[in-house]
Amino acid sequence: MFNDKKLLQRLRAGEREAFEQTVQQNYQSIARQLYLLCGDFDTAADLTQETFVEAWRSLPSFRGESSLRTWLYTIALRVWHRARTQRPQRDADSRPDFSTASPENVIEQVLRAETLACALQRLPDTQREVLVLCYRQEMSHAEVARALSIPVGTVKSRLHEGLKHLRRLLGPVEETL
Amino acid sequence: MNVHESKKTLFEKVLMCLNFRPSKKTPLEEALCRLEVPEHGEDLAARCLATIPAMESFPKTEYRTLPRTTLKRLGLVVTVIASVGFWTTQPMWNGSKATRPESTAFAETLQAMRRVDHYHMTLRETTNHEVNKHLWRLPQEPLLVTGQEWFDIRRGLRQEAQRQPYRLLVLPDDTILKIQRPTAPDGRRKEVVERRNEKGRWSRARQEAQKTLTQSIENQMVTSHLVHSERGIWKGRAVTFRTYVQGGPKIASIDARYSVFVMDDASARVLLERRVMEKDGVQRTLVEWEWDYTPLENPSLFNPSLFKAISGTTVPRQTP
Repeated sequence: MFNDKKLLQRLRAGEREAFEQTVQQNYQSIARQLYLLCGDFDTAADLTQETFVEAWRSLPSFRGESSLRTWLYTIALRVWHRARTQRPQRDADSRPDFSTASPENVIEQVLRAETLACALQRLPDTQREVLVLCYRQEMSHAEVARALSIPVGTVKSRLHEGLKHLRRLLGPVEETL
Repeated sequence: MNVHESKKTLFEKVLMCLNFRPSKKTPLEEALCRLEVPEHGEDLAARCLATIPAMESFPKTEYRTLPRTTLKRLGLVVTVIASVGFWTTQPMWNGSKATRPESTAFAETLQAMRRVDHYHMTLRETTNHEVNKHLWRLPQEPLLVTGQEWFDIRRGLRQEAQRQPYRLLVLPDDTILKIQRPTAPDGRRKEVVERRNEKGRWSRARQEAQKTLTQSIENQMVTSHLVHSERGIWKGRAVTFRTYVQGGPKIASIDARYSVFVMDDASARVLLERRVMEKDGVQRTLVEWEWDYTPLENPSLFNPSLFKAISGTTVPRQTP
């Protein structure tokens, strides 16, 4: 947090190196988050770029109440929400379904289709984003609640539903994880 | 309940009060935590940095909106224009520098843009594309030249606008020649010819141009929602921005408004187009700024004795 504050001070002072450092430190995790949310590698790259443009614009309004990283995750989430309404959604039926796969095929599909990531893509957006933020990005329930503007209780219920849904989608593959 | 159990319970209660729970994740949750996803390369960091404007435009409160009048557009253009003159002053990219990280290259580009010493800008618009501050009428007409600007750091700055007939010449000796004609002459309002000398005018105009050169590019990036940026080095790439809708009445047939900004190294030109896309997918260009950074070959443009009024009268040079 101390380093964050120092970095934020440097950002506010207009040090380009500070922003470069921020980008270098966070672009992979932002890209990872966006990839898990949107399910497309190139789109994730575009949205990552937009995230940093948005972060740049929003710097003056960042009060430092959360960590810089959490703040960037929240912006990435906002960028994804906006993109979701502007970009055509992928056809859910084209995504692999593992619930009825036989064990032999499962191994192939695990190798071929990144099982868990693909199953994540089949979840409703509201459940997927909570799972990604809580588990992959290691944000606390309170931080996720703040980022999504929903109560902490809703975060927990979405987590619960999301995991249940995920188990149902993965079927026998869950045991191989 | 023995003492140990009561202490343990108390400890757990404390942990619960602190909203802390020992990590007891299921295999599925563990898998989610260490979920592997394809890694993006260093190129992505460079792309992110390339779209971040130089720190001189560090956002303070609000950003300027693009000016709407022709003259303001001309002024705005000057900013961008000067910037890109780096192609003619000192090429930033050659074969040996092509592998330089984008962020560095772009920062150097902006620096070079501020050292521009000549350009020719042409503004083309469709007629009546702007009905009021917000409403755009879809034009069917071709683009017409409605403004031009020439800048030569050794000779001066000349601006011309057709829609609101206007000419301005600022010379390095601080002489200002200005001609303005009413849009619709009614006999009462006459053409205004102004000639004066204002100390420091050229220096200010030049500094302002060189200072604001990159602002249009930066504003375009910062105030717009980036929708697409081609991969590769910055120079020569096409960058597409979707501008935010500002409110006000909308035309039902327009699906999106956006801007396209292109730097073309080969022709030493920069193009900024504002476009609309109709719901049927047809794209139309409404306004287009083109900056040409090839050397200006007509010095008479800055010759005050040849600076003619719009009606054709030559403005005589007078020593201040």
